[in-house]
Amino acid sequence: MRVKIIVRCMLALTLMLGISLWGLAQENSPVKLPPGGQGSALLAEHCTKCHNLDEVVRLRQTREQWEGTVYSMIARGAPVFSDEAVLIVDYLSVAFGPDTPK
Amino acid sequence: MRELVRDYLEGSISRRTFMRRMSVAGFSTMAATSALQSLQPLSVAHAAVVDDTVQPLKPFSGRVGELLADQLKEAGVEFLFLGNGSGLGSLCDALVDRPQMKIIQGIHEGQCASIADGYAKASGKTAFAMFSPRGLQHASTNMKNAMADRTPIVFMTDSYDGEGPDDVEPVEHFTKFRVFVEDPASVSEWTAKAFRLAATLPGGTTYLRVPRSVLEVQKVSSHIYDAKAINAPMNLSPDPALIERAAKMLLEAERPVMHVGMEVTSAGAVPAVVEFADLIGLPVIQESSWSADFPTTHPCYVGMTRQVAFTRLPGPPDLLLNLGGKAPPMHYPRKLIPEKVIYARVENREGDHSPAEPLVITASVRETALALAESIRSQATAAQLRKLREPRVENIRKVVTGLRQSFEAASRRRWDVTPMAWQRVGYELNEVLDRDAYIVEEFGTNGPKVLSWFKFGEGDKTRIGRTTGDCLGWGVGASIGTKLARPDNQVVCLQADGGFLFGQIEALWSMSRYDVPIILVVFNNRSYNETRTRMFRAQHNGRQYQEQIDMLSHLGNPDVDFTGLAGAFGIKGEKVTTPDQLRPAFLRAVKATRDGRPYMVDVIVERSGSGAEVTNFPEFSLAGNRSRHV
Repeated sequence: MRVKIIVRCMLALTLMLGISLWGLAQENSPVKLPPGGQGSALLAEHCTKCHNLDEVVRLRQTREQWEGTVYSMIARGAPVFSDEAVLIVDYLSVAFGPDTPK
Repeated sequence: MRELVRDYLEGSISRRTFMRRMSVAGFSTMAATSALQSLQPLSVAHAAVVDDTVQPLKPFSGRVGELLADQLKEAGVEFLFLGNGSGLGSLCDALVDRPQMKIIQGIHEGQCASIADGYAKASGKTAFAMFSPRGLQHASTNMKNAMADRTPIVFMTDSYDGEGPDDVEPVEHFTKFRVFVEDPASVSEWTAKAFRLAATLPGGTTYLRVPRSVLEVQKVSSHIYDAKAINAPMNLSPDPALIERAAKMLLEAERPVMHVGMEVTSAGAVPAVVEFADLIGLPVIQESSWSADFPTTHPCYVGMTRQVAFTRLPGPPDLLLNLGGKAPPMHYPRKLIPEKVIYARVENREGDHSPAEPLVITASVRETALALAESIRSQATAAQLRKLREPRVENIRKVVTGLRQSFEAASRRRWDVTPMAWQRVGYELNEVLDRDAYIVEEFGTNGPKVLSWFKFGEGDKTRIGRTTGDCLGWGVGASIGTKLARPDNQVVCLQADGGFLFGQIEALWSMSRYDVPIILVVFNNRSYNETRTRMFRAQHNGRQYQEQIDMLSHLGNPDVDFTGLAGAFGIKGEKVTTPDQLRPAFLRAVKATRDGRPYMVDVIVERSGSGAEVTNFPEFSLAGNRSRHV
């Protein structure tokens, strides 16, 4: 019972956090991103500081290609920490993978 | 006079009041109008023209060319950056007997201007450049760059018969002061005033146009004007009440940030600004500037505005102090400008500010920083200041360290690729350069990939560039001027191929003739990378994107042989195509410069961004379209 309550609380917290960050994402970018938890929120919050996401959502890439894109941006100064980069790549690989319909 | 100017700039008095008080002070209407006009575009500068600040030092009798040369000497001119032109005859005649003043000739007026610019920036002195009036248009892009950076340079040309005061207008936007000199006896006085104005903070360019008939006058009685008055920049002290208010705001703010810009360096204010920032642990953001206005290794330094690292600090800023930066602050995200803003600089102009009612302190940056530090110390105890500083510095450390690790890890993922990653080139270069080298760069958005490897600040490297004027075709000449000013420091010119081809080949002539030992690194990606990226990104469904054709930005075919270009001017160099060749090539460049000659390393680097892989371009061969093969 106690475990169930904790799990529910965590789910609720995750949902609230997701909604909150989703709101931020919407504010920063006119592009509507598919929901994707932290990766989506990080993308919307940090990547849009320098560019919009129009080009990003047009692309369909493998995980390796998304890694190339994200790390190349960090290597030119994008303010993203290493652990966040992993989450952004995870998200992009699923939401904008090669098989995702355009 | 000083108070009058400040009152006008701060909006305390109207235009009419300014004119009236000038009149009361004994200035003619023409003089007052001239001062007022000069205050419109720039701020304090032109007040000195009408002020009685240049004083005759000693009488002169002789040729006008000699009068000009002696006045330049009195102003402290060591190098004259000259282009060819018959109107320079009288000055050149005078220089034959004044060998202590050295001519540095540019074979293109644009390069005369960029060499002068680099010299003035690196030396902190006002530079002098003169060329033919027909070359003025050639020089205009680098005059524009110098003006944007507020570099103190006096430009002079002769003029032809029949020209008059209106002929100074073409450079109106590239100079803070222009005058047509018609009286031979006044050549020295106007020259002295032009120097005085150029050096007056925030600095800038001035232009003298002198009829050839005036320059060639054989006998004139006049005066040489005193260098002490010419070279003493007019500083403005801040209003104590404004300082007290600003200090209080800073102490009350929870998350203040400071944005620094080029007035910090031009005012010689870096140590004062460092001390002030350190006092309360102010996170410091560097605006796009021609210099590093804050040491990049300091615990308060967060990074360039454009890279927005400061947005990773906890919470949005609740106070922005813009110290010596442009207004509104360049590249600072508008939505992150808090309600409380302090603008502290010489060059405050109405209409530039956001939000509508910031606290505006119009004064020299150095005096402002010192006064703010003093006021803060008087309003808080040492323990209170420590309490403010320590958590902020710790937050900055976490962000800067974390992002640095992320940057390096990301860079090393593509460490060995060919064409080479810019980051790898920057790393290898940093490994071989002197700690206190001067880096003259003309990069665009690729700059941070290279520059992030260097430490800038006192005792470390000095950055000069990229000019905020943004007109390409500046870097090679500027590096020559830098080396002339700093002969005992290693000088490295970092130049992308596109920018190099914007009229800089001529600078190699000056570099070679005068044995200017510079390490010249060409980052050669055979592309105008930024324009292609922007075109493809902005027009992503456009025809270039659809057809994968690069209409304007591809620079390959012909692949320019840059070392061949250097060789044509007697400058040695080599091309580098793989990462393992980098370090040996840079070491050879270091040796060549130690031996007294320039050296070029042409590095083949990768393109990036949208359309990077596209090498198709609209092909056309005139030869194939002839009806007669002649």
